[in-house]
Amino acid sequence: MRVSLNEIQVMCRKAFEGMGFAAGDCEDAADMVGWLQLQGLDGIGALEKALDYLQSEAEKPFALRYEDSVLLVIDAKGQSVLRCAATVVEFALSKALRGGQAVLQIHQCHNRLLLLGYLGRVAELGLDVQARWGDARQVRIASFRAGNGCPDLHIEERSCAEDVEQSITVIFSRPATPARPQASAHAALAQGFSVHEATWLRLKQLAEQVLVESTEASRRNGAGGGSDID
Amino acid sequence: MSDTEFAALALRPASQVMDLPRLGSHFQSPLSFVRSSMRRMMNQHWRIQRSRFDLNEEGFGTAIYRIDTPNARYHCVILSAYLPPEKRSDRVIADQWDISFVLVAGDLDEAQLVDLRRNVPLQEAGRFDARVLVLSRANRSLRNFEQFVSALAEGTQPDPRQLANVGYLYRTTAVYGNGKFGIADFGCLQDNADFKQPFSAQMFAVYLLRHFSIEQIEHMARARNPQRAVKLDIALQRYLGVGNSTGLGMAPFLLNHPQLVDQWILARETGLARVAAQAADPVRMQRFHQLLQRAQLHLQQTVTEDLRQHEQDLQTLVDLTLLGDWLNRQPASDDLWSSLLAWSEAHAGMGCQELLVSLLLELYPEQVTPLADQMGVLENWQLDAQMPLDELRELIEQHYDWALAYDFSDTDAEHFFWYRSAEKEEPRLGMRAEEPGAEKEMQLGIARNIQRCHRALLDHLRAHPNQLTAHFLIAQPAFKGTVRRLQGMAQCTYGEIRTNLLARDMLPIHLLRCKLAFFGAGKFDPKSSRWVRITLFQGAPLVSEIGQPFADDWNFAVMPKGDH
Repeated sequence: MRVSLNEIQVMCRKAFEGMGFAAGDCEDAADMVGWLQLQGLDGIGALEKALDYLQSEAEKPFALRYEDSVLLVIDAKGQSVLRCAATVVEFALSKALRGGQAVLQIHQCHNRLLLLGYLGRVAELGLDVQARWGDARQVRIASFRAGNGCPDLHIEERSCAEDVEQSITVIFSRPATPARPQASAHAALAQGFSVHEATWLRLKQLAEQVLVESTEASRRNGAGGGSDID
Repeated sequence: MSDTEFAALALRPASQVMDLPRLGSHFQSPLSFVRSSMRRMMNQHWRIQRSRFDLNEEGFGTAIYRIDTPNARYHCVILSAYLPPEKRSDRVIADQWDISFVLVAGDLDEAQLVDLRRNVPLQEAGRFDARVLVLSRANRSLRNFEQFVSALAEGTQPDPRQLANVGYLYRTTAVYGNGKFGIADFGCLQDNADFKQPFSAQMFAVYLLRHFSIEQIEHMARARNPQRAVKLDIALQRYLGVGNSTGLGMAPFLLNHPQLVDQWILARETGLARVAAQAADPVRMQRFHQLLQRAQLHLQQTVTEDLRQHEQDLQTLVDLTLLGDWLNRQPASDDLWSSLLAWSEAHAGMGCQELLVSLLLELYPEQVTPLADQMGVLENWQLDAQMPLDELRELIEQHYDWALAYDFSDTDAEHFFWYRSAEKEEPRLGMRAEEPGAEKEMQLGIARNIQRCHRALLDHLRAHPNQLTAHFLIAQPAFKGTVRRLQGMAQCTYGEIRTNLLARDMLPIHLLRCKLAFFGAGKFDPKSSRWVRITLFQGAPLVSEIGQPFADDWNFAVMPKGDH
């Protein structure tokens, strides 16, 4: 089925709320999924893969393991980056804007692909960004040029399988020459976005968790009562 | 507006302007969206032509209008069908209406029309694509509809008093834009010169409904009595508006889009400050008296059964008479308009004060109407992660002192909770102590959120006095939304609506009226503290008048012949 950007953002926001995300995180995560779709990336598909983790985990704060003027090391305690990585990305961004460069390492995290949504917005603010993460067989590299929220994606095969930690490292740097912002993706809006009906239905079911069952009393008075007679 | 001008203007303070009962006393103004939409149509000579009108004698069938602007072509498709009496409801939970309609970009083909016929009557249950800009539905005003058709069929004109009581034949119960149910996202309109201002496409669709309603009753009257039927008198056509019924759904919008609200209020207050800085002259003073008389008559002709609104309207009328008397005693002077504002603040209620603002905004159109092009805003929240925590604390205490002043140990301060019902997601209010569902409440208690955040911040500061905002939020992620909001709103001139939306004495109707006044609503007729009926486009030029000289002087419409 085809849906609009607004529908994606509203549905995701409600679904995240239904999953117990905090105010602020709901909006960040939903906007990020919408942003991925706008860039031609499958934000909804990536979210679908993340849902199993998200629904099973209980939110606990990330831990700050190390910090100096350039480096920020975060322990996500085995949670999805959707939970509150937006805040640490903002923190690293502020360091880079101040000092020209910052490095963010998030350890013990899931759904790392989804972090790209946040990084793309940082790139649009004028920083070069490179993210590296991997599994036993591959290393993935996403590179954003300042001013352009759409990344170049690159995969390197490891020569031999390694036992690697579930982490991601991101380098933010101010470019030598100021960035030129790219045109926005209004054309994509007019086409709408294709999503799988089953995924949409799953999100809808999560979103319905924020709804309160109607009763005769709430039906009568909750929206105001008063005469509806013309 | 330049930074220099902005700094020089004497704007009213946020503590005064953002008070909820004051926002709930607004009237329409030249910055209202119906007014700017009408100016665009008239100044650019939009062409609106009927391209299909297949209605039977009961008015059921299909009407299509083609619209050509200097920039593009659009179509409005209106589907009219029989509505069983038991299905008639203004509520969101309704699933059938007298008419349903869409505003579509570009040309229409038969395949699209077939698709629209299937989906438009379903409204929320239908699916659409981005060619559809606006989706809406409306119900007949039963009182007016039959009497108007009968009168015209008999060769007579309906009694104008009917339109003074209820100023329309149709009442919309939702006007959807911005991506709902697959229609065009608001972003699609960012480069569209016709509809890039907020709600402009929706207001235009409503204007087309007004035109259709006139053509439909004239058609029905002709069908009923071809020999005797007459057209609706032109003065009555102009006095006819479109109704709207609005409930709690509007309230979350205002709370969730504070940057947009700030922009709207800033435009209005900037216009007021510009007018107040003008030197009064006899011509403008005479014009003001004319506007004042019309507004008084309009308010006298506003009918509502709501006691609070009725009493406020009566008080406003008394105040307006005193205001007129005071002004009559004043000579033209450089500071007359600011003195008049000051007089109203000292001697009149909020209804009179805010009506005065609307009237003053009419006096110097060259100072005010350009601000109507600045009603949109790119909403963007940027967290200042590096802000030291003691600075964040000061920010809260300076900009949200009003929120910190509420006493949440008093159960009345948290009496209500806002929620979305499982029944079509209709927004409702529940009583926390008596009704289930508070654990799923919508986050509209801004003042409570600010207090909780402030308390947690003070605790964190005691242990970590030199930390930054980011450190606080890594430790307390639940406050990210609140912190980002307050950092952003602290940079706005007006920003937050200053109220506790959970309080027992809170009246949601104020929020509804504030937004509806920006739309351009008149004839506020609250049906309870939670929903209201209003009228749009009453007094507006007719489609047949587009292209003729236009004075943009149609606010506060009065009954033809001028009295009861």
